[in-house]
Amino acid sequence: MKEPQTAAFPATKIAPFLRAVVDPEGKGDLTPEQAAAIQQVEANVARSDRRR
Amino acid sequence: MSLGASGQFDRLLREIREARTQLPVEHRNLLAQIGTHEGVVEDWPTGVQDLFRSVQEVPPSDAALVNAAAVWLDGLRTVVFNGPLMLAAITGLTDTSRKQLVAYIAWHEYGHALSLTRSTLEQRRSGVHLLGLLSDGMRASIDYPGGYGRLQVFDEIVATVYALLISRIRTDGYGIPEFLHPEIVQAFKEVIPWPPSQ
Repeated sequence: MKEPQTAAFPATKIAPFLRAVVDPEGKGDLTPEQAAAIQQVEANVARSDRRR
Repeated sequence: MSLGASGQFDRLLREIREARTQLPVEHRNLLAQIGTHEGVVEDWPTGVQDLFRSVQEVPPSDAALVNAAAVWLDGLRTVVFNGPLMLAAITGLTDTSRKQLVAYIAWHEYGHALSLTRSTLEQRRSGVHLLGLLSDGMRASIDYPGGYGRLQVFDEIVATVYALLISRIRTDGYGIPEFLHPEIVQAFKEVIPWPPSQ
């Protein structure tokens, strides 16, 4: 039987996606708070990935 | 006061739904017409697979779900968020940052829902070409080549641009940033009404 159509958002792309929203041109146009928050998310996802 | 596990999932779902209420009325109406639902699944991936079994349909495989933060389930018209993974991802954030980042992810998923249900095969065929026209930062967020097939790239681009534009409404209104290539803008507007009429 055919598997249903799904579209997944991979966990490893959360941080790159968040950077794309706050700094789409990659010029460093994000606030220190935004940068710290995204780094935290990136570290959290990596930690979570190692546990799985 | 700290919330228990179930309370944390409930809070996450509230934040996602609040992000939906912040979308332009026209887009909320389109999502409603599509019949879009959202949910936070606590028992991932089994909980997602159980949704399919509950309506007597073949569930997606573990492989299709295991590394996902969120998944659009086309047949069920539902976007489901991986509750444990999302909560792990936002651990340690301030309330303000958490709310903002959850909203960005939710807007991406709602943009995805709009694109997947409104784009044509012809438009999807243009995805890889359009990917080359994105800024480096935006292109890096799309898992191609890798996680996505050629025909999935278009919807990823629309979803990413959608989250970007929604995030800028408060500061820039419905303006289109100059760094977005005209072909990207045209393709986006063919799928999602922009500026929205209401």
